[in-house]
Formats: sequence, C-alpha cells, structure tokens
Amino acid sequence: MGYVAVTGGQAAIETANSLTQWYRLKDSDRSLKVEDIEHQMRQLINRVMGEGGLYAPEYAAIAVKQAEGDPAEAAFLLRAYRSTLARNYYSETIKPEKMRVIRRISSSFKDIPGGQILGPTYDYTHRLLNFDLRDEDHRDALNQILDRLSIDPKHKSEKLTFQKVTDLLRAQGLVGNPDPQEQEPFDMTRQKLTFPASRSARLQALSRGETGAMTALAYSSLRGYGAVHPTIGELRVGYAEVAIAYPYDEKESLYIGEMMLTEVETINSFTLNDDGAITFRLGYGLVFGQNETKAIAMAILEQSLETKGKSPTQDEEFVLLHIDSVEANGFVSHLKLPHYITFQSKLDVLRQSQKISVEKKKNETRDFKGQEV
Amino acid sequence: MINTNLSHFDEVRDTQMIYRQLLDCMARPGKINSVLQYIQKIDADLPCSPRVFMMAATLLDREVTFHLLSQKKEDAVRFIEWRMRSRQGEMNQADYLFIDLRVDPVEIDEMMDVIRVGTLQNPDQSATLILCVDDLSDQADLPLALRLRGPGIQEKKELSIAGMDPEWFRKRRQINEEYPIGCDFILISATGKMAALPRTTLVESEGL
Amino acid sequence: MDFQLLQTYNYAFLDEGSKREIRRAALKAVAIPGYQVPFASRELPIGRGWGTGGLQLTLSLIGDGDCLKVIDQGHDDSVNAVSIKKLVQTCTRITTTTDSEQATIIQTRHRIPEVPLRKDQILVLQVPEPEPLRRVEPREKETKRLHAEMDYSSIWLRLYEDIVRWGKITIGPDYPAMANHRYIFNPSPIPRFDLPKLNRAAGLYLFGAGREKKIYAIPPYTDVTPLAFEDYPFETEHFEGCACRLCGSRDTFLDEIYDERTGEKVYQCSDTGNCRKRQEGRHSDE
Repeated sequence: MGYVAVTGGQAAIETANSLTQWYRLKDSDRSLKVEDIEHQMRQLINRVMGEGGLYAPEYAAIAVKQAEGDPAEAAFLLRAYRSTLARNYYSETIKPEKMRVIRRISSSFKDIPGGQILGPTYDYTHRLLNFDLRDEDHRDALNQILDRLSIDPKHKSEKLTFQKVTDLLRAQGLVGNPDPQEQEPFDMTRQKLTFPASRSARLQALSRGETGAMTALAYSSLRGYGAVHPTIGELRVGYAEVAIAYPYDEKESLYIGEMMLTEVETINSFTLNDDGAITFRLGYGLVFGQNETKAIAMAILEQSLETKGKSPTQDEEFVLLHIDSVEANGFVSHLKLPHYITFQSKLDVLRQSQKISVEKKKNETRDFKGQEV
Repeated sequence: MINTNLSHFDEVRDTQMIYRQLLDCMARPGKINSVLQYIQKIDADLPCSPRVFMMAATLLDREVTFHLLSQKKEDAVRFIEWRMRSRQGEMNQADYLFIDLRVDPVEIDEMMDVIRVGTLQNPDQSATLILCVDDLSDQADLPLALRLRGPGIQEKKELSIAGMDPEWFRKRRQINEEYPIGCDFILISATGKMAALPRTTLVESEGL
Repeated sequence: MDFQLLQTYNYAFLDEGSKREIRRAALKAVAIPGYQVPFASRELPIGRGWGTGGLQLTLSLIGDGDCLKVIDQGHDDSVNAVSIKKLVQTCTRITTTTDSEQATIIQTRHRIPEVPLRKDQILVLQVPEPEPLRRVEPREKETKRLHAEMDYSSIWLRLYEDIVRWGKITIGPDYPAMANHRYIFNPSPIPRFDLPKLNRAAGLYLFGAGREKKIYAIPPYTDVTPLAFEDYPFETEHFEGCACRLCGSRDTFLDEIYDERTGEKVYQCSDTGNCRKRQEGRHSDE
C-alpha cells in the first residue's frame, strides 16, 4: 500500500527512536556526564525544573541529556515522571525572608539594610564569546577563580539572611497589598484551573510557566499593551528550607532539604485602596532556581492581571492558559499527527457548498434572464 | 496504629476491578454487579465494615473528604483517615457519604437537606452517597420495588431493595428535580451486590 | 526502556491517587451525560494534544483480563496508535488486538469502529477541544455560564449564519450534538458519519481531553441529537457510488486516496480492522 502516510507501525517507531539516539551520539567520542550537566548547565536545569514543576536537579540533568538540550522536551520529561509519584505530604509554608541569600538587589533604593549583593550574575559581564572555554582545564580555572576571590574553600562562610526591602515600605504604611494569610493554596496539579482564578492559582500557574512565553507577555505589558511598569523593590536568590509536618505529631516539623529560589517583589504605581488609603501595590514572583527574568515577568504579569483593561496581559484566561510549556508545545506539535479523517469530512462539506453555490448562480442567471423577457 | 491484616486485598488491582464494576453500574442504572470476591478478601473485624472499606479504598484519598455514619463511628473514621489519608468532613461538605446504619426518615431529611448537590455551573461538585442495604434484586421481590427509566436504561429496569427507607427516594427526587444539580446513589449489600442510581435515573414506585 | 517501564514505574503508569481522581471524574461524567467534568489531568509520556486525555482514561480503566485496541484515523497501525498501545501494554501486560469485537476497551482518535459497540465494551475517545461553544466564545468562564443557563442561542445563530452564507451547515467533523436533551457536546473530531452511532448505543463512550482537562461521557441508551434545523437536516458525509477498493464495502466510512501510479482517485475503508475481516470473510466465502 503506497498510500498510508504513516504506517509500518512498530518497526518505524523503533527505527526512529534508534535514529534519535544515533544522532545524539554520532559526532562525539564520549557521552556527557549527567553530573556535569547538573552542575555546569545550571541555568538550563533551573529553567527545566521550574517549567517541569519538579525540584530535582539530577533528574532535570538526565532529562536535559535525554532531550539533547531542548528545554521544552526536558520539562516535559520531568512532568511525565512527576505524574507517577504519589503525593503523600505537603510542605509547610516556605519562608523566603529566611533564605540563605547568594544575591539580592534593589532598584528602588540606593542603600538597603544589609547592602546590595550582586552575587553570581551575568548582568554586568560583557557578552563576548570566551574562546578560552574551548580548552578550559577544570582545576586550573577553579584555582584562578579562588585566587581572584581570595576565598578559602575549606572555610565555611556565615549564612547571610536579610530583612526584606518591601517590609520597610510595609512598616511605613506605603504598601496596600493585603496582609499575608495562612490558607490552603489552590493546587493546579490536583484540580483543573477554573476562572476567575484565585490568586494562589494564578501565582502557581505563573511559577510553572514557560520562561520565554512569560517574558514576551511581560514585555508587551511594559511596552504599552498594559498598565504595569514596575520598579524592582527587591530581587533575591538563595536557598530556602523545606519542611513537612511530622506525620505523627503535626505540631512538629521535619526538615527535608533546601531548594534554590528566585524571589522578586516589584513596586507598582500607587492606587487608591478600598479603605481610601493611597499606597503602592507590590507584584510578586517566585520561581525554582536562579531564573531572574522569569521571576520578574511573573511579578509583572500577576500585577497586570490585577488591573482591568483590554490588553492581552489583563486577560487571565489568555495569560494563564497559554504559558504552559508542555501544553503549548504538545498542541502545536500535534498538528504533525494525521488528520485525514477530519480533512475528508471538511472536503465533503466544501464540495457540497460548492455544489449549492453553483446551483444558486444558475438560478440567479435564470431569474435575471426571466426578468429581461 | 491499628493492627490490621489486609494482605489479601490488593489496593491496586482489586480497586481497579471494583471501579470497573462500579462504572458499569453507574452507566447502567439498576444493573446489579457482584463484588463479593473482593469483600471476601477484607477482614471482617476491621473498625469499618468490609464493604465500606472496599468502597473507601476505591474512591477516597487525601484530595476528597468523606462522612461516615456507622457503628463504632469514631474508630471507623480514624481508621479510614489513616488508611486512605482522606479526611472526614461535615455532612454538608463531604464528597462521599457512607451510610452504614439504619437512619430514620427524619434523619434522612435532615441529611439530604444539607448535602452538597453542586451548582448549575459545577453540577459535579456534589455528594455521592454510598448506602449499605440488606439486599438487592433485579425483580420486584424485595420490599422496596422500583421501576427505573433514564439514560443507561434501554426501556425500563426493575430494581428492588431490602433494608432501605423509601424516604431516601422521596428526598432524592426533590433534590434531583433541578437537574443537572443533584446527587448520585451507590447501593451495596453485605454480600457484595452493587447497584447505582445516578441523578438522571427516574424512579417510580408504588410506595413513593 | 520496556524493562525500565515495568521496574521503575507503577502498574498502568499513573500513581493510584491520579487514577482515583480520573475514576471519580469519569463516574460523575457518566452521571451527567455530556457535561464536561474538570479534572487535574496528568502529564504522560506522550505529548499533550497527542491523546493524553484518552490515555489517562484508558490507564484508569485497564486491568488484568482486558484486551485493548487502539486506533488513529480508524487505523491500528498508525504510528501514534501503535505508540499508545505499546505504552499501555508495557506498563500493564494486558493483551491487545486489532479486532474491535475482541476488545474490551477501544481507544480511538477521529473514528468510531464500524461494528457497533457491545454492552461489555468501552470506547475511549481522545478529545482535542471538548468545548462545543468555543466556536463562538473563546472564554471558558463564559462558556461555563452558557452551559449552566442552557443558553445555546449563540451556537444556533452560528449554524443559521452558515446556512445564509453557504446554503448549508459547514461544520465537518466534531459536529456538535445534544446529550440527553440537556448539554451540547463535541463528539471529538469523528466524522458526521460516526455521530449517529452514539445515539442510544449499547456501549459506554468516554471522552478525555488531557490538555483541556475535561472528562465527559455518553452512557448507553442516551439520546444524542445532532444540532440541525427542520428544513436543513443533519447530513453525514457523502459516499454515493463509492466502494472500498479492498473489501468492496459501500456502507462504511471511506478514505479518498490517489493511486500512486495512475493518480486516479480511489476509495478504501478507514476502519482497517473491519476491512481486513471483511476481506477474509469474502475470501472464505469464495
């Protein structure tokens, strides 16, 4: 049968799988080490964990290796794996104000208590391709860096924690956001997102969103398709502790580890609150790992969704339903599947409509001629 | 915790089989399917009855709440909460209500007046009642004889029940009048005869 | 990979909590025919939009003793059907078939098999867009309200405008229908030819939309009425004068294809399992 476009079924699939593996390896003389990916592709790992909704650096590294570096595919692998895991516990509320900070900046104030800490960032590196990386020797490079930083790796540095910048504003009554409340958040992995979405649902959807999609939408808001153009009150990156309630005594906590987070609080234009006070509104972004652009985009988008208007970023269904990497990629790529049954059905409708149209024209001409006589 | 021997009951495979029987019951209202072989795998001296345990294992986990009326209720509730990681909720909040006790018409009315029936937008946010009865038959030979019509039934279907107050059906009719708002019934006997009456089923009976 | 799937992953891939949630939603779906029950929807090892809704239903249903048939475009050997079947088989060890009469569960995309479903069979349909009103309203919040109020004027208007403009209703596949006189639903992109099969059928039909996170159902013996006007009745696809070039059938849904050598238009059964059986039947009759 020459006709069936995709057939040969199992054999074809197996060959395709083997070919992908072949293409992954054929031009190199060694296989990438998963631990190298985990530790030297940090930004990719952070992004994949965030979009995959699973904090598991090693698994993310395996996914990146398996996906040949495609972040969408890797996030998809993590999500699919996540579906198999039983959900037995929920963590206690994580406190980013207590995080072990490696970087924190504020664009609103020149001086902030504790100072600005640039930490690891590309922000001020010149984007010049570094050809030395071709032949980088791991140990030499590391020693040079340690020399420059005059750090003794054996010496344990003190844990840096800082009060939040926005708490200063809050203490002065300059912030109009309602006080945080302890309530069970919406869980979009356990319930379908419905609209209007609660704030916790919005934040969760944004936190799992695709970095590029969110950056594009936030950018549109900044450029004028929306009303949000904030100042960054504080951006901090660091490690936060995660604990669960002790299963046999809910009053006790059980420490289970720490995770790297990026937290952003933005200060937006001031508004008149329901109680008549004029204050700033804060926007909030919190994402896995160090992914600063996404965290800022999240803070912009969540505030944009709090405003009313006709811009795309003020429509919560539009924003929240189209930023998911797995869903967007899946549906766009599903067009590669055969659609010949639906096409046949549409073809049938088209032919029928053509027939009707031809008949109609014939009748019209006849009527016209009739009038002439 | 509570020492129980449930080694015979397979919470993966047996609940899958029970679910398929239940789905078939729900798709064909009044059809009686047997789940006796699974009930027999469950210890009779658990804090809750084997049929309640079986249905709880099939339907409950920490994402939903239940409400149980039974003998030794406190032990049974604690046992189900521990086993299924589900939480007991108030009658007016629970997703699943297990009635393993004779309740009089007044109590039935009180209960049916408060249970969740969903909304026009979200009719699925409604309670499912799991009612323990004495016996079920597909002929009119038990005390409460019903004639059923509606989706899932080709023409008409006979179902008769022993050990169930007709008041359940009177209140059910009231609640389900505003379809799609409503509640769904699952009936189960101690010998594992199971039938379901989704909200779409119209029930006629001499006694109603 | 197969070994890993058995060793590292759960029976039927999903964890028990996920299966239970899908099962709870499916029970509600059966109780309210045509109503789209929201569910959380898990990501699966196949793409979103590639049948994850159907697959989640299948994985929540399947167990020892089941026999599975998977088709895509009516075809057992289509790569996506093969891929889905393989995944289910590897994490459950159930048996599979291409004969729709042997199957206990049939998962399908875009077709309903020609042989009517029996009482003991369940048909699982993969659904890309569960919302029939999406044709006239993009917002979920709004379509939910329209369903609640049974306000279907906008879709009727759309059909009417079709007639004014084109002289007929121009919806091809996924033709909207009314379930149990209450909910308008999308039957998934099956051809109109297959839609009457849902009306008062003997078997249970379950619909799963993974990306859109909805499950709905048409129980057995449930009225399913395609939307139409009295003077513009519902019509299935036209195959007058056409026959399958392989089995000679004149009463099945046919794929229109072009002969590789001659470029001539020919027809062939879309339900390949049924076509093969008919060919075998014809040979044994001879």
